[in-house]
Amino acid sequence: MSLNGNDLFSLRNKTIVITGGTRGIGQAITMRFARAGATVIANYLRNEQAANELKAISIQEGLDIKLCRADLTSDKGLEQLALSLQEWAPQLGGIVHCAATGIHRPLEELTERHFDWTLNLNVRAFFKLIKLLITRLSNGSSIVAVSSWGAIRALPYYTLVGSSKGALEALARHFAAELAPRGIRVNILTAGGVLTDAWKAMPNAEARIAEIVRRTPAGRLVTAEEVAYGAQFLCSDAARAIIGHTLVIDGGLGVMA
Amino acid sequence: MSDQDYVLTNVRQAFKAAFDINPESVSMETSASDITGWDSVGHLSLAGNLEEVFGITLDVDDLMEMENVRQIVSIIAAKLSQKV
Repeated sequence: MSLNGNDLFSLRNKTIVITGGTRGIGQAITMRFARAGATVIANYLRNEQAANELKAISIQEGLDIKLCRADLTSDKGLEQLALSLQEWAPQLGGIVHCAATGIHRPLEELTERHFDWTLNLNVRAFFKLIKLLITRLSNGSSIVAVSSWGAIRALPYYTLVGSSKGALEALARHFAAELAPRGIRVNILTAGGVLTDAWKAMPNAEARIAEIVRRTPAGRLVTAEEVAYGAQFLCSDAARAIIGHTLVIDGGLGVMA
Repeated sequence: MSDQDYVLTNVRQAFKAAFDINPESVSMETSASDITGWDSVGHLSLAGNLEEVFGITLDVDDLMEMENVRQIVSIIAAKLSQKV
Protein backbone atom coordinates (compact mmCIF):
# COMPACT_ATOMS: atom_id res chain seq x y z
CA MET A 1 0.00 0.00 0.00
CA SER A 2 1.39 3.36 -1.00
CA LEU A 3 1.25 5.99 1.69
CA ASN A 4 1.53 9.71 1.21
CA GLY A 5 3.38 11.98 3.58
CA ASN A 6 0.25 12.80 5.54
CA ASP A 7 -0.61 9.18 6.16
CA LEU A 8 2.83 7.88 7.08
CA PHE A 9 2.85 9.06 10.70
CA SER A 10 -0.88 9.17 11.27
CA LEU A 11 -2.43 6.92 13.91
CA ARG A 12 -5.97 7.34 12.60
CA ASN A 13 -8.19 4.28 12.95
CA LYS A 14 -5.82 2.74 15.49
CA THR A 15 -6.84 1.95 19.06
CA ILE A 16 -3.81 1.86 21.29
CA VAL A 17 -3.43 0.92 24.96
CA ILE A 18 -0.86 2.91 26.90
CA THR A 19 0.00 1.60 30.36
CA GLY A 20 0.99 4.33 32.77
CA GLY A 21 -0.65 6.66 30.30
CA THR A 22 -1.74 9.50 32.55
CA ARG A 23 1.56 10.88 33.86
CA GLY A 24 5.05 11.71 32.69
CA ILE A 25 6.22 10.07 29.47
CA GLY A 26 3.05 7.97 29.32
CA GLN A 27 0.86 11.05 29.41
CA ALA A 28 2.90 12.70 26.67
CA ILE A 29 2.52 9.57 24.54
CA THR A 30 -1.23 9.48 25.22
CA MET A 31 -1.64 13.10 24.12
CA ARG A 32 0.61 12.71 21.05
CA PHE A 33 -1.17 9.57 19.91
CA ALA A 34 -4.62 11.06 20.41
CA ARG A 35 -3.60 14.19 18.50
CA ALA A 36 -2.32 11.91 15.73
CA GLY A 37 -5.81 10.47 15.42
CA ALA A 38 -5.65 7.37 17.62
CA THR A 39 -8.24 6.21 20.09
CA VAL A 40 -6.16 5.90 23.23
CA ILE A 41 -6.94 3.76 26.22
CA ALA A 42 -4.82 5.26 28.97
CA ASN A 43 -4.27 2.89 31.86
CA TYR A 44 -3.36 4.23 35.31
CA LEU A 45 -3.62 3.17 38.92
CA ARG A 46 -2.90 5.70 41.58
CA ASN A 47 -3.42 9.29 40.70
CA GLU A 48 -7.08 9.95 40.03
CA GLN A 49 -6.49 13.69 39.78
CA ALA A 50 -3.93 13.34 36.99
CA ALA A 51 -6.29 11.01 35.15
CA ASN A 52 -9.18 13.48 35.47
CA GLU A 53 -6.98 16.34 34.28
CA LEU A 54 -6.02 14.33 31.23
CA LYS A 55 -9.67 13.56 30.56
CA ALA A 56 -10.55 17.25 30.84
CA ILE A 57 -7.88 18.16 28.28
CA SER A 58 -9.11 15.44 25.94
CA ILE A 59 -12.66 16.79 26.11
CA GLN A 60 -11.42 20.33 25.53
CA GLU A 61 -9.46 19.29 22.43
CA GLY A 62 -11.96 16.75 21.14
CA LEU A 63 -9.52 13.86 21.52
CA ASP A 64 -10.58 10.26 21.92
CA ILE A 65 -8.96 9.22 25.19
CA LYS A 66 -10.54 6.64 27.43
CA LEU A 67 -9.28 6.02 30.96
CA CYS A 68 -8.86 2.59 32.46
CA ARG A 69 -7.88 2.31 36.09
CA ALA A 70 -6.37 -1.12 36.65
CA ASP A 71 -3.51 -2.66 38.61
CA LEU A 72 -1.50 -4.53 35.99
CA THR A 73 0.35 -6.53 38.64
CA SER A 74 -2.85 -8.35 39.59
CA ASP A 75 -4.97 -10.82 37.65
CA LYS A 76 -8.03 -8.84 38.70
CA GLY A 77 -6.55 -5.66 37.22
CA LEU A 78 -5.70 -7.36 33.94
CA GLU A 79 -9.21 -8.77 33.82
CA GLN A 80 -10.59 -5.26 34.31
CA LEU A 81 -8.49 -3.99 31.43
CA ALA A 82 -9.61 -6.86 29.21
CA LEU A 83 -13.28 -6.19 30.01
CA SER A 84 -12.87 -2.49 29.24
CA LEU A 85 -11.27 -3.33 25.92
CA GLN A 86 -14.07 -5.76 25.12
CA GLU A 87 -16.44 -2.83 25.44
CA TRP A 88 -14.31 -0.16 23.72
CA ALA A 89 -12.09 -1.92 21.25
CA PRO A 90 -12.30 -5.56 20.27
CA GLN A 91 -9.32 -4.99 17.96
CA LEU A 92 -6.14 -3.17 18.95
CA GLY A 93 -3.66 -1.32 16.81
CA GLY A 94 -0.99 -1.22 19.47
CA ILE A 95 0.22 -1.41 23.03
CA VAL A 96 2.77 0.90 24.66
CA HIS A 97 4.04 -0.35 28.00
CA CYS A 98 5.07 2.75 29.89
CA ALA A 99 3.97 1.82 33.43
CA ALA A 100 6.97 1.39 35.68
CA THR A 101 8.00 1.43 39.29
CA GLY A 102 11.08 0.87 41.40
CA ILE A 103 12.98 1.48 44.60
CA HIS A 104 15.99 3.75 44.33
CA ARG A 105 18.42 2.64 47.05
CA PRO A 106 21.95 1.26 47.44
CA LEU A 107 22.38 -2.52 47.43
CA GLU A 108 22.58 -2.81 51.24
CA GLU A 109 19.07 -1.39 51.55
CA LEU A 110 17.45 -3.47 48.79
CA THR A 111 15.48 -6.59 49.61
CA GLU A 112 14.06 -9.45 47.59
CA ARG A 113 10.61 -7.95 48.02
CA HIS A 114 11.79 -4.71 46.41
CA PHE A 115 13.10 -6.87 43.57
CA ASP A 116 9.76 -8.65 43.20
CA TRP A 117 7.73 -5.45 43.42
CA THR A 118 9.80 -3.77 40.72
CA LEU A 119 9.90 -6.65 38.28
CA ASN A 120 6.23 -7.45 38.81
CA LEU A 121 5.16 -4.26 37.09
CA ASN A 122 8.09 -3.49 34.85
CA VAL A 123 8.51 -6.95 33.32
CA ARG A 124 5.95 -9.52 34.44
CA ALA A 125 3.00 -7.19 33.74
CA PHE A 126 4.27 -6.65 30.18
CA PHE A 127 4.55 -10.40 29.68
CA LYS A 128 1.03 -11.01 31.03
CA LEU A 129 -0.43 -8.07 29.11
CA ILE A 130 0.87 -9.34 25.78
CA LYS A 131 -0.36 -12.87 26.48
CA LEU A 132 -3.75 -11.46 27.45
CA LEU A 133 -4.16 -9.14 24.45
CA ILE A 134 -2.30 -10.99 21.69
CA THR A 135 -5.47 -12.23 20.01
CA ARG A 136 -6.80 -8.66 19.82
CA LEU A 137 -3.74 -7.28 18.05
CA SER A 138 -4.44 -6.84 14.37
CA ASN A 139 -2.04 -7.40 11.48
CA GLY A 140 0.00 -4.21 11.22
CA SER A 141 -0.20 -3.45 14.93
CA SER A 142 2.71 -2.32 17.02
CA ILE A 143 3.97 -3.00 20.54
CA VAL A 144 6.42 -0.63 22.21
CA ALA A 145 8.25 -1.30 25.46
CA VAL A 146 9.46 1.91 27.06
CA SER A 147 12.90 1.37 28.53
CA SER A 148 15.63 3.58 29.84
CA TRP A 149 19.35 4.12 29.69
CA GLY A 150 19.68 2.18 32.91
CA ALA A 151 18.99 -1.05 31.00
CA ILE A 152 22.55 -1.03 29.67
CA ARG A 153 24.37 1.45 31.93
CA ALA A 154 24.90 1.42 35.69
CA LEU A 155 23.28 4.48 37.24
CA PRO A 156 23.27 5.45 40.92
CA TYR A 157 20.53 3.72 42.96
CA TYR A 158 19.03 2.37 39.74
CA THR A 159 19.88 -1.31 40.25
CA LEU A 160 16.35 -2.68 40.32
CA VAL A 161 14.78 -0.41 37.72
CA GLY A 162 17.78 -0.75 35.40
CA SER A 163 17.86 -4.53 35.63
CA SER A 164 14.10 -4.70 35.11
CA LYS A 165 14.44 -2.58 31.98
CA GLY A 166 17.18 -4.89 30.74
CA ALA A 167 14.83 -7.84 31.21
CA LEU A 168 12.01 -5.89 29.56
CA GLU A 169 14.18 -5.20 26.51
CA ALA A 170 15.19 -8.86 26.18
CA LEU A 171 11.56 -9.92 26.44
CA ALA A 172 10.57 -7.36 23.79
CA ARG A 173 13.25 -8.64 21.39
CA HIS A 174 12.08 -12.21 21.75
CA PHE A 175 8.48 -11.12 21.23
CA ALA A 176 9.65 -9.18 18.17
CA ALA A 177 11.09 -12.30 16.57
CA GLU A 178 8.09 -14.44 17.40
CA LEU A 179 5.33 -12.00 16.45
CA ALA A 180 6.76 -10.48 13.26
CA PRO A 181 5.43 -13.36 11.10
CA ARG A 182 1.95 -12.47 12.41
CA GLY A 183 2.33 -8.88 11.28
CA ILE A 184 2.80 -7.58 14.83
CA ARG A 185 5.87 -5.40 15.29
CA VAL A 186 7.61 -5.11 18.65
CA ASN A 187 10.19 -2.43 19.39
CA ILE A 188 11.86 -0.71 22.29
CA LEU A 189 11.86 3.00 22.99
CA THR A 190 14.57 4.12 25.34
CA ALA A 191 15.22 7.56 26.71
CA GLY A 192 18.13 9.24 28.41
CA GLY A 193 17.46 11.88 31.04
CA VAL A 194 13.86 13.05 30.57
CA LEU A 195 12.26 16.02 32.25
CA THR A 196 9.41 14.51 34.32
CA ASP A 197 8.19 14.35 37.92
CA ALA A 198 9.89 10.94 38.23
CA TRP A 199 13.08 12.76 39.28
CA LYS A 200 11.40 13.71 42.55
CA ALA A 201 11.70 10.08 43.69
CA MET A 202 15.42 9.83 42.91
CA PRO A 203 18.21 10.59 45.36
CA ASN A 204 20.50 13.53 44.49
CA ALA A 205 18.24 14.44 41.58
CA GLU A 206 19.55 17.98 41.11
CA ALA A 207 23.19 16.95 40.91
CA ARG A 208 22.40 14.04 38.61
CA ILE A 209 20.36 16.20 36.26
CA ALA A 210 23.20 18.72 36.12
CA GLU A 211 25.66 15.94 35.27
CA ILE A 212 23.42 14.58 32.51
CA VAL A 213 23.02 18.04 31.02
CA ARG A 214 26.78 18.55 31.13
CA ARG A 215 27.44 15.28 29.32
CA THR A 216 24.64 15.51 26.75
CA PRO A 217 25.69 16.99 23.39
CA ALA A 218 22.29 18.66 23.08
CA GLY A 219 23.03 20.43 26.37
CA ARG A 220 19.66 19.67 27.95
CA LEU A 221 17.33 16.96 29.11
CA VAL A 222 14.99 15.38 26.61
CA THR A 223 11.33 16.34 26.97
CA ALA A 224 8.55 13.82 27.40
CA GLU A 225 7.01 15.13 24.17
CA GLU A 226 10.19 14.28 22.27
CA VAL A 227 10.03 10.73 23.57
CA ALA A 228 6.38 10.65 22.48
CA TYR A 229 7.38 11.61 18.91
CA GLY A 230 9.55 8.50 18.83
CA ALA A 231 6.69 6.37 20.13
CA GLN A 232 4.41 7.75 17.42
CA PHE A 233 6.94 6.88 14.75
CA LEU A 234 7.28 3.30 16.01
CA CYS A 235 3.50 2.83 16.07
CA SER A 236 2.96 4.40 12.66
CA ASP A 237 3.07 2.86 9.20
CA ALA A 238 6.32 4.71 8.58
CA ALA A 239 8.03 2.16 10.84
CA ARG A 240 6.52 -0.92 9.20
CA ALA A 241 9.94 -2.45 8.45
CA ILE A 242 11.34 -1.70 11.92
CA ILE A 243 11.26 -4.77 14.14
CA GLY A 244 13.13 -5.55 17.35
CA HIS A 245 14.83 -2.17 17.24
CA THR A 246 15.83 0.03 20.15
CA LEU A 247 15.09 3.65 19.34
CA VAL A 248 17.16 5.87 21.57
CA ILE A 249 16.02 9.39 22.38
CA ASP A 250 18.69 10.96 24.55
CA GLY A 251 20.01 14.16 23.01
CA GLY A 252 23.24 12.33 22.11
CA LEU A 253 24.14 11.24 25.64
CA GLY A 254 24.74 7.64 24.61
CA VAL A 255 27.48 8.41 22.10
CA MET A 256 29.72 10.09 24.65
CA ALA A 257 32.63 8.18 26.18
CA MET B 1 -2.37 7.85 72.49
CA SER B 2 -4.68 5.29 70.87
CA ASP B 3 -3.30 2.52 68.68
CA GLN B 4 -4.67 4.25 65.59
CA ASP B 5 -3.08 7.54 66.60
CA TYR B 6 0.24 5.77 67.11
CA VAL B 7 0.05 4.17 63.68
CA LEU B 8 -1.06 7.41 61.98
CA THR B 9 1.73 9.39 63.64
CA ASN B 10 4.33 7.00 62.33
CA VAL B 11 2.67 6.66 58.93
CA ARG B 12 3.04 10.41 58.65
CA GLN B 13 6.76 10.08 59.29
CA ALA B 14 6.99 7.48 56.54
CA PHE B 15 5.23 9.89 54.18
CA LYS B 16 7.65 12.65 55.16
CA ALA B 17 10.60 10.36 54.39
CA ALA B 18 9.12 9.18 51.09
CA PHE B 19 7.80 12.46 49.71
CA ASP B 20 9.54 15.21 51.71
CA ILE B 21 6.21 16.71 52.82
CA ASN B 22 4.85 18.16 56.05
CA PRO B 23 3.60 15.13 58.03
CA GLU B 24 0.70 17.19 59.36
CA SER B 25 -0.64 17.46 55.81
CA VAL B 26 -1.33 13.72 55.85
CA SER B 27 -4.78 12.75 57.08
CA MET B 28 -6.73 9.52 57.06
CA GLU B 29 -8.37 10.63 53.82
CA THR B 30 -5.14 11.42 52.00
CA SER B 31 -4.74 9.50 48.75
CA ALA B 32 -2.33 9.46 45.83
CA SER B 33 -4.19 12.30 44.15
CA ASP B 34 -3.24 14.57 47.05
CA ILE B 35 0.51 14.05 46.95
CA THR B 36 2.82 14.87 44.06
CA GLY B 37 5.16 11.96 43.62
CA TRP B 38 2.83 9.31 44.99
CA ASP B 39 2.89 7.34 41.76
CA SER B 40 4.00 3.75 41.26
CA VAL B 41 7.59 4.60 42.07
CA GLY B 42 6.63 6.74 45.05
CA HIS B 43 4.37 3.93 46.26
CA LEU B 44 7.28 1.53 46.53
CA SER B 45 9.37 4.12 48.27
CA LEU B 46 6.55 4.68 50.74
CA ALA B 47 6.14 0.93 51.27
CA GLY B 48 9.83 0.56 51.99
CA ASN B 49 9.69 3.37 54.54
CA LEU B 50 6.60 1.90 56.21
CA GLU B 51 8.38 -1.44 56.59
CA GLU B 52 11.35 0.28 58.23
CA VAL B 53 9.32 2.51 60.52
CA PHE B 54 7.08 -0.30 61.79
CA GLY B 55 9.40 -3.31 61.47
CA ILE B 56 6.85 -5.17 59.34
CA THR B 57 6.79 -6.94 55.99
CA LEU B 58 4.38 -5.82 53.28
CA ASP B 59 3.53 -8.28 50.53
CA VAL B 60 2.24 -7.60 47.03
CA ASP B 61 -1.40 -7.87 48.13
CA ASP B 62 -0.80 -5.25 50.82
CA LEU B 63 0.73 -2.90 48.28
CA MET B 64 -2.27 -3.27 46.03
CA GLU B 65 -4.70 -2.43 48.83
CA MET B 66 -2.84 0.63 50.12
CA GLU B 67 -4.80 3.21 48.14
CA ASN B 68 -5.19 5.83 50.84
CA VAL B 69 -3.94 6.54 54.34
CA ARG B 70 -6.98 4.98 56.00
CA GLN B 71 -6.25 1.67 54.25
CA ILE B 72 -2.55 1.96 55.06
CA VAL B 73 -3.31 2.48 58.76
CA SER B 74 -5.70 -0.46 58.74
CA ILE B 75 -3.19 -2.79 57.08
CA ILE B 76 -0.39 -1.77 59.41
CA ALA B 77 -2.56 -2.06 62.50
CA ALA B 78 -3.46 -5.60 61.44
CA LYS B 79 0.21 -6.47 60.90
CA LEU B 80 1.20 -5.05 64.27
CA SER B 81 -1.52 -6.99 66.06
CA GLN B 82 -0.15 -10.20 64.49
CA LYS B 83 3.28 -9.41 65.90
CA VAL B 84 2.02 -9.15 69.49
